[in-house]
Amino acid sequence: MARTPAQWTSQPPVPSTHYVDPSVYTDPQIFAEEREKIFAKTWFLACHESEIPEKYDYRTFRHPAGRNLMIVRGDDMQVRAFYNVCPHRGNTILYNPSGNAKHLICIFHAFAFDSRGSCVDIPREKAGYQERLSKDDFGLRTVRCETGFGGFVYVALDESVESLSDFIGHALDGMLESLNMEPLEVFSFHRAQVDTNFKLWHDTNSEFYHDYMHYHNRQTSMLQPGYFERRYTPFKNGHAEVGDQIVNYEAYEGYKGRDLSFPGMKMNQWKMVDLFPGMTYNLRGSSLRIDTVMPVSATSTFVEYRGLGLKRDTPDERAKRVHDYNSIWGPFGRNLHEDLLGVHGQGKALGRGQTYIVQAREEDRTIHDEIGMRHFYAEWSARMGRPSSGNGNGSHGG
Amino acid sequence: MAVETLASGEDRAFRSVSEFLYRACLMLDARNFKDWLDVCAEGFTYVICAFSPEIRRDMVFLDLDLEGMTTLVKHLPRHNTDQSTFTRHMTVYTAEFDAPGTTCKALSSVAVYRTELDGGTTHLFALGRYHDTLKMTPGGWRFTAREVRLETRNLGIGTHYPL
Repeated sequence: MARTPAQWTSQPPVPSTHYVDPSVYTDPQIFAEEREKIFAKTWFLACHESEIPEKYDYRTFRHPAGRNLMIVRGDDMQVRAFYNVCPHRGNTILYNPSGNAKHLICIFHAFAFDSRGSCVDIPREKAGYQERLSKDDFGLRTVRCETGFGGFVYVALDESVESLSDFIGHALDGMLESLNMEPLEVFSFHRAQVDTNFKLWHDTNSEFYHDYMHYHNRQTSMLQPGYFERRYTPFKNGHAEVGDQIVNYEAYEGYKGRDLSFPGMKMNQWKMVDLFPGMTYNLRGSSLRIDTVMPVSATSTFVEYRGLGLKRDTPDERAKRVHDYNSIWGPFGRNLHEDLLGVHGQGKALGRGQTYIVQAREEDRTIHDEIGMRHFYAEWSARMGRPSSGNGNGSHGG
Repeated sequence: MAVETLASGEDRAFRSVSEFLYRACLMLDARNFKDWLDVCAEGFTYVICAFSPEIRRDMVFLDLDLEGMTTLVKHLPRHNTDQSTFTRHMTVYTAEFDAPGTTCKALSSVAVYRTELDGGTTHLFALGRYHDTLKMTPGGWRFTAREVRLETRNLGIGTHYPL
């Protein structure tokens, strides 16, 4: 039976942990709070060490809390992070997304900085500042930075947050052997801009019930042994792991002949871990995919996708990994477009008068259980100091 | 008084290749993949690639042979796919022929526009170049290879369709 407007906007008859107020996906004020209460206070994946392999290599990064950063490999090969902002007049220092520069020079007034963040040159320093200010007063703003869990460079804007290993905890334990046995290398990077909320992308990565949308996944996974035994494991800080499965790629015409795997992985094994508040490690057979959400506003999001293989790959091995990766996950792959189509559709539909978003499937934590999303929103609610289910007065409108 | 000039052999060859490429473009716009695959020769390869300034590498987004393209097209109705239309604006820049004039390497610019079915809003989906290799057959020109080299790397929600 179709529902009346009042029924449409009323709370679902399930515990409040099992639905989300739609304003959580659209309200600019909530988004502003998320930037400060969540993104500015958690570790976030900025890039991979293979993107800055040589000394003086740099990579720029727009942090989801709204700060522009640069990741720099120093003359001592140590990786550091700084605000990508000149301390003189606030200009952007690095414009290109990557490069190599012994000195980082602001184009505005030619202030120069070394790879450890020290200011090393100010044009006509004494003439203008006499003894009042010196290069020591113009060092770059450092940002906490750690490399790990597969060679990924993580940053934290807040000096007081726990260590990276404490933040991730045991969430990646089931994948660590594959991530750390050999150096990895990024072979693909692209962004997708979607008019949707960043959490909707992470929601999609946190539930598999939407496999009904994917012809490829239905054929190669859902209809194969082991799929419905995949079981979620929630970890502290809002992270969750999806149990593994052996995928039968041969069930999708044209996808035969995959013969590469990853260290520590069985042939065609699939493992996946979602990290709060918007990162996903997705290891499928021969390649690793990393998703990071880059919210622009409450209703606009970039998602960055990285494909990784082994640094020691032969050209033939690399070509196979690239092919395997893109056949499913590239911008022309069979899965990614469908996932993006889904969150694009949600973005179009959300707005005033929308119904609650239901996350109420309980199937003993197996693959179509929506516990992954519920676990995320429990963490979200704790950090935001407000329930993701809303205040119960139908404030999202009707 | 109008002055008629006879096109040189080179001009005629360029025109012939251009016309072939434009017709193939119309087939893709119309999603007439059957006819498009028919103008791809045995051994055809199709690649979509781009350079990433972020990781400073060439990237291959799609890499298929004729059989792979045929299978891709066959699967399209089974997938959920954005049905917005794609319209290509293409200009053939250069066509270089071998000595007998039976093979050709053509370079074209291409802009692919996506038009939403609901409301008809059009926006640029991707900008890039076609690097085509062709051979003359009894049936006319045929593709032996197409490389779509994209400038655009933010492809929004992406697509299942070849460009």
